[in-house]
Amino acid sequence: MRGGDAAALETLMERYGSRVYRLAYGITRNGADAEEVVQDVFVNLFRKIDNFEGRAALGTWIYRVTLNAAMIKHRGKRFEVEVPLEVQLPRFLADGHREDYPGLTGEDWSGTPEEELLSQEARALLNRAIGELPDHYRGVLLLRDVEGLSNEEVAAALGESLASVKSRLHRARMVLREQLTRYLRPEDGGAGRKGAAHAHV
Amino acid sequence: MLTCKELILDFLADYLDATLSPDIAAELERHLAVCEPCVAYLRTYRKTRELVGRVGRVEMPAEMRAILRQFLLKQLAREKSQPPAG
Repeated sequence: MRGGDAAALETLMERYGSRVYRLAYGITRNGADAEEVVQDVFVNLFRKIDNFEGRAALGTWIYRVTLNAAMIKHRGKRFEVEVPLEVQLPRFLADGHREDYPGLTGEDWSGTPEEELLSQEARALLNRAIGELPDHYRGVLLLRDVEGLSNEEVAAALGESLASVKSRLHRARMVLREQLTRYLRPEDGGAGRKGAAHAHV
Repeated sequence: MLTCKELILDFLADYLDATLSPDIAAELERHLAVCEPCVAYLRTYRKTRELVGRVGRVEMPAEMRAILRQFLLKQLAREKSQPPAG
């Protein structure tokens, strides 16, 4: 490790600890697994820190190894059957209008009060919906919408094309928007009446 | 004019990132001016993005951070005390 001292460790933990944990937890959905991933990533980081030229390369590397380690850990523990993403995306008629027009497309719950949007139940619903996304969609979503990386930075971190990153990100957001809409739409009176939180397309 | 499908599936994310070409952005805005459901979709999509950011911002528990720091310091000391291989 550059400098090889505890102060450098503190700096690295301060700068990257929460990000690595958040991403690891976001993929594994489990605190103990996330902790193991963080440990592995930092041990790895110690051994390779001298190879990095500049913070950008280091950041990209950290995100990539964290995501890979978390996905490997999570892969062995996924027991649930993955719901195909396609059935959760908006569907359109040949003329370009949505199939359930105005249906869910036209529901505007964006003005819902903050306390309702961030209620324990709404958070749980959104967390569950994020957890149900395939890992490689969730990874892109977390890097972009939680960590605030640009599309280009996400593509660099994952070693994938920009088009692929953008496509997965948009699909992931549309699925989550659909789930939130079923829960929050005004015609249900909002806040998940009629058990809308568990509805699937 | 763009269809709802094109607007939502092909251009919405780039529009919100302000990376659409001015021509397509103008076309999209013409559609939005007359299509309330697409305006609703845009607003709720944008809100979804924001909520994901807020709900996903978990912090490493303090106890875990302390344990991790101890573990890494030990690891660091061990590696420094070992002569390089070869």
